[in-house]
Amino acid sequence: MDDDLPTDFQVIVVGTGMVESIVAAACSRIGKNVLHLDSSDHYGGLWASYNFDGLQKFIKEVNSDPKRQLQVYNLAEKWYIEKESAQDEKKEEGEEKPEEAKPEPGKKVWSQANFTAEYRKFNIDMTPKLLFSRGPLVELLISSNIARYAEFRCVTRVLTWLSDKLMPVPCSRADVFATEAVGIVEKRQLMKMLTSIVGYNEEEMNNEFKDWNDKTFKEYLAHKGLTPNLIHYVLYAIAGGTDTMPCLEGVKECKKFLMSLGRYGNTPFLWPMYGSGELPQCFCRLCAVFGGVYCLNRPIDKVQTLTVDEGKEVVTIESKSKTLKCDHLVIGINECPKDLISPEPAESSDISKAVFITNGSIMKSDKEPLTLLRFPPLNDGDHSVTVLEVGPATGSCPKGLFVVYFITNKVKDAESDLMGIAEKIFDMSGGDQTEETDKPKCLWSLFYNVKDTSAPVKSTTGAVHVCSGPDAGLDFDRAVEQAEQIFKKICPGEEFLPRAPDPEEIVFEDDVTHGPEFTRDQDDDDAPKE
Amino acid sequence: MILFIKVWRAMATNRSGAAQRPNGAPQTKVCQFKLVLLGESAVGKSSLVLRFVKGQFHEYQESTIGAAFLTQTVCLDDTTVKFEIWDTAGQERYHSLAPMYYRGAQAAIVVYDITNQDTFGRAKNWVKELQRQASPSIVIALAGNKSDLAAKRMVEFEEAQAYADENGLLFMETSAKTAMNVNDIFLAIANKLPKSEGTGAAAAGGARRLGDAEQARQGSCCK
Repeated sequence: MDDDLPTDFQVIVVGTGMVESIVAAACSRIGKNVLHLDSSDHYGGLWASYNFDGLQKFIKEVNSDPKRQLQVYNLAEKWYIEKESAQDEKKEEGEEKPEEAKPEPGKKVWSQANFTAEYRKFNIDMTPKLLFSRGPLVELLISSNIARYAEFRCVTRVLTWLSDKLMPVPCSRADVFATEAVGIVEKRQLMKMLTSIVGYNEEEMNNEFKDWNDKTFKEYLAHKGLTPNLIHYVLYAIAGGTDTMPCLEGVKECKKFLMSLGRYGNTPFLWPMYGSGELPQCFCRLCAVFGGVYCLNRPIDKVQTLTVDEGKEVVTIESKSKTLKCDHLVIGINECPKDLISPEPAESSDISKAVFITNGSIMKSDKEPLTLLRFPPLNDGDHSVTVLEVGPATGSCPKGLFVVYFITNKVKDAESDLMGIAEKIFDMSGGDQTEETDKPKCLWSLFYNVKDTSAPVKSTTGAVHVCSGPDAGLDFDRAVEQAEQIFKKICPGEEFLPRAPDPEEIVFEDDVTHGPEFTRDQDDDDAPKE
Repeated sequence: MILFIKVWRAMATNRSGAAQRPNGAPQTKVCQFKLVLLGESAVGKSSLVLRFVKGQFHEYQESTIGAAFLTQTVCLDDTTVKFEIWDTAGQERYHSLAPMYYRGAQAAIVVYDITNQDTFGRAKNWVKELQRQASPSIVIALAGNKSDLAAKRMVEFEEAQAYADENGLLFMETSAKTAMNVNDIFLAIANKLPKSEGTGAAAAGGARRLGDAEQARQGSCCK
């Protein structure tokens, strides 16, 4: 079918992960001739989102293919509900009600069969990530005009775990003053602290922090006289750190959080509609709009580099008995033949992840919440755990359900690393879904580990550029930064994703003579009728 | 094809909602809808849109570089319908259309070439794909394009009409070259789209586009 695929390109990109897709878009945007391939039948690689059916296929594929388990392993899926519902209610699938449907009387009893029937309403992310409202990805989406391909929702609240319960974290000035969790003196202290962190210029920063290079952020906060409560908020919830977080890193993270406040919502964060997996697709679309050629389901067999005249390198790729040629190959680390990588990437700690589907929010709220919870380490030496809870309004699941993601650095394995926290915020016992409980019932869970391939990797040749896999971080900043670096190597001196024109700006060459105006009465219709 | 850049003023993010008129005259409701084009390569998808949006036709239309996203407004009696028209940008060629293409689409035009039976078969597949991937309430129109080439016709009008009737699709034969039925098919779609408050691109209620202007909501009048 794809035998007419052209073979000569300036840039070939293999893999449709975030970094690869941004590079593809950037190259195509400035006029490079780009081919973008993926060995699988969907976009995103490890950055993809799946509907429920797609996710089941993914789990099956990984569990039956030892090669795939080099990237993703320890997959453990578990149901906490019956196969078939006793109620046997025959609800028509796809009966879309407008957003503010009336609250349903009584809780629905979900069965596995319901999940299967409504599989299309799920969009479950392998790499869920947030965007800082003033972070590099938001700025890039706006400046490049790729923002028009996507929609977002604001994260409505940031929670923390304090004194053995969930507590909202005051984010804005108004929040700080409205909260009952901190006293009036503490409020002043907190505001002063936060205001100064944002306000410092470089000189003041250097002055303030010159003696703090080798100390922790926690020590700094204590030195500033913050109460244990406030230290908790600032260190764990705002900076997303642990007790050992270096001072300067903590200050940087706080600043990033605070700078993104007040742009779009009450918190600094945005979540893409239908999940993080949409974002690589948006960049791919821009690439295609500017002439990039797309071909999924196209595995590559062999990569070779040849030096032609004057030291110029050409990369050849064997794929389905076709030889593709390019000046630059951009390739995802998981698709890249080992012999092209040099030196071997250092061993890094892997990532532990989990996805839960629940029948309610971890903390009740009037309107549907969209929540970031940064769970502080339960024991000394543990890592903190990032928890994201998304609901039906984000296009992630059917009404009545929530999808909750856990992400942390791996210590033992995903289940041991994360089960302790799951039990604190969910009811993991199964049982009657209609009973009123403090904690939402977990209906389904998936634990898994992902190899951390986020460290930058060098290739053996200047014509091959290797893109890192997803990191455990909250945002996409590292992916954006790496993509720009790769682009600058391929296209030195060129602008990185200049603004694409809006529809109103696109004027075709012979626009001078306008065609018939559109009117309702169709009097412009001088076409010959059959 | 050469692109010129003009200063851009209109907000691309007008959402469903009443436009304000200072004199208190009756308000015109503006509804914005995402419309996606589907169909095999070279059936005339881009040409249909160019004819509709710019009133132009190019005999040797190249694949549309940089212009796969156009807007056009249709005025009905009490409503202004603004179409945000998405072209496939060639991603359909090797069966690599991204799911994000269908997200939130309220209307689709599936195009085939009346002189090519294969493209009609593929159009049926696109309709199935839409029924599988897109919103269940999507309005689908089937366009048998290149009706100016009736002498070389391979797909009978009646056959396509019967298929459209069976599947609840709007159907017209069109010609981007002569403009026949081009405006009409968009108008028919505009008429069929639900235009109550809370429909249109804002149906996602609270989902937002990002923009230079932080306040991304603004009404707009019928031009």
